[in-house]
Amino acid sequence: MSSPEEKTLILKSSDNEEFLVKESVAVQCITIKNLVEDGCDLDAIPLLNVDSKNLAWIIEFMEKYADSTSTDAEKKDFDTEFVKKPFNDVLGLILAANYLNFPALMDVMCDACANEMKLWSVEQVREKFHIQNDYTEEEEKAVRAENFWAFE
Amino acid sequence: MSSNFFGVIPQAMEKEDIGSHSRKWEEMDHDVLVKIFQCFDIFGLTSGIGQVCSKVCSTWRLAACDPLIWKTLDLSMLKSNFIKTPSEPYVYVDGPSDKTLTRVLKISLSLSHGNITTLIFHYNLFVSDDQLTYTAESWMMMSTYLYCRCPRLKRLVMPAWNRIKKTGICKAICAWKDLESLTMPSISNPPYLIEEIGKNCKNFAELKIMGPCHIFFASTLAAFLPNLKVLSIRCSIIFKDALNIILDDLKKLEVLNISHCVLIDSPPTLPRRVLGELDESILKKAKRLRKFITCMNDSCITCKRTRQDEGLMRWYKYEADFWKVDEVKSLAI
Repeated sequence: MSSPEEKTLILKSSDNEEFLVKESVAVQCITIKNLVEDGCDLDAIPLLNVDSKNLAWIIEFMEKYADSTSTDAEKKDFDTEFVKKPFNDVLGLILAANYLNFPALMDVMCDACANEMKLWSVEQVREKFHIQNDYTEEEEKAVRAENFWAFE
Repeated sequence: MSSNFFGVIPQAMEKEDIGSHSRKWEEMDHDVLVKIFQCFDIFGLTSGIGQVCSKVCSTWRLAACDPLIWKTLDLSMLKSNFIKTPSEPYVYVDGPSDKTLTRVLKISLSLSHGNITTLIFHYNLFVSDDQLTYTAESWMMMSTYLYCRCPRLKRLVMPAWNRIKKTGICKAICAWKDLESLTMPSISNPPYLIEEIGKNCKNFAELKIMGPCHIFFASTLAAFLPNLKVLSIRCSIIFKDALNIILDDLKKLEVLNISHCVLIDSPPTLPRRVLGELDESILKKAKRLRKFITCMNDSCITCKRTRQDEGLMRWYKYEADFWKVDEVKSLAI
């Protein structure tokens, strides 16, 4: 008994590029899954917060993870290569995975980010994450001194 | 390319559009930060990067204290490599020691604001007599911190406690009134502890025993933990009469895991007779359970190891995380 033709979705990036993805693959993103289940009948699903660069990567990841023939070891190898990207891109993918609510990608990218950050100082974190320090000079001093007692 | 004192990057340095970046980084909100922080292990959190994160800015500071990050204190790492960090004073030069344990505990308990609900110790922590000497005194000190600072503990994983006095164990465990799940070794005088758990821990529901289960243990469970829902006795010795008591008398039991166990016939004979399979009467009794998990397979690696070790699994011989496995998800680590 043959199964019906697999439904394909069109995902449109914020810079208007369209990507064809099988529905069964795309619903790994819970945001997309909800849209589909709510009966979204748009021609293309617009992903306003995801540009084509990130969407291409996300689709690459989705297809690897949806593939039932890939083993856990293969997925791990894939992950290791996949995360070898400049840090800005790692952060970009985290934000995209968060927006699309894609747990598997979120786990892998957050892990990679945490790994990268492990040995950083406060200044390095602020620089790489483009963070504005909102502490006053006094607050900064107090915060820096915290937990110092535990190190004797 | 250094930032000024307040961490603002001079605009001229970045080739890409700063505007789009800054909008993007605002989305790096509390929940996303918490997800990233959850990836750090207990050492990272209590020294190095964890300390760094709480100093970056106020948003990060808040995220670093989120209960989600602190609900599990996994000290099972205390037996493995330590992290050396370049920035002072976050340098670990020593190996594992009481001092390290104290430091990790102090900071975790301080940063967790009483939110720790799961506490995991390594199986070797209170057993061996080598340089890793966590003694009974250490336990007394630790348990004092622990039951003051994480009063809402729900799950305790303590696979071995040979070097600790029974009174010390009992006092600590029974102080945790919200305890729901315990992983413990097999003990020779079970009523001492089990009765106290039954009296003090009203929500107690899940038990994992990492050691042999005799009829005495089984009848103690039936007597004092009538509401037990989940029981896991894996990779160990289980006696047939004990199994029968569990199936007959633990009326509220829903999940029973006896995978990879060496099943010994009752009444006891000399030499012990190992049963190769479960008989009809046992399978019939087990039908009322929601889940009855067994594995008695000659080709199963875990079964083979249990048999080789004669039912007293030598966890140290195998892969580092092998002891953490359990077919019952809520009891796995």
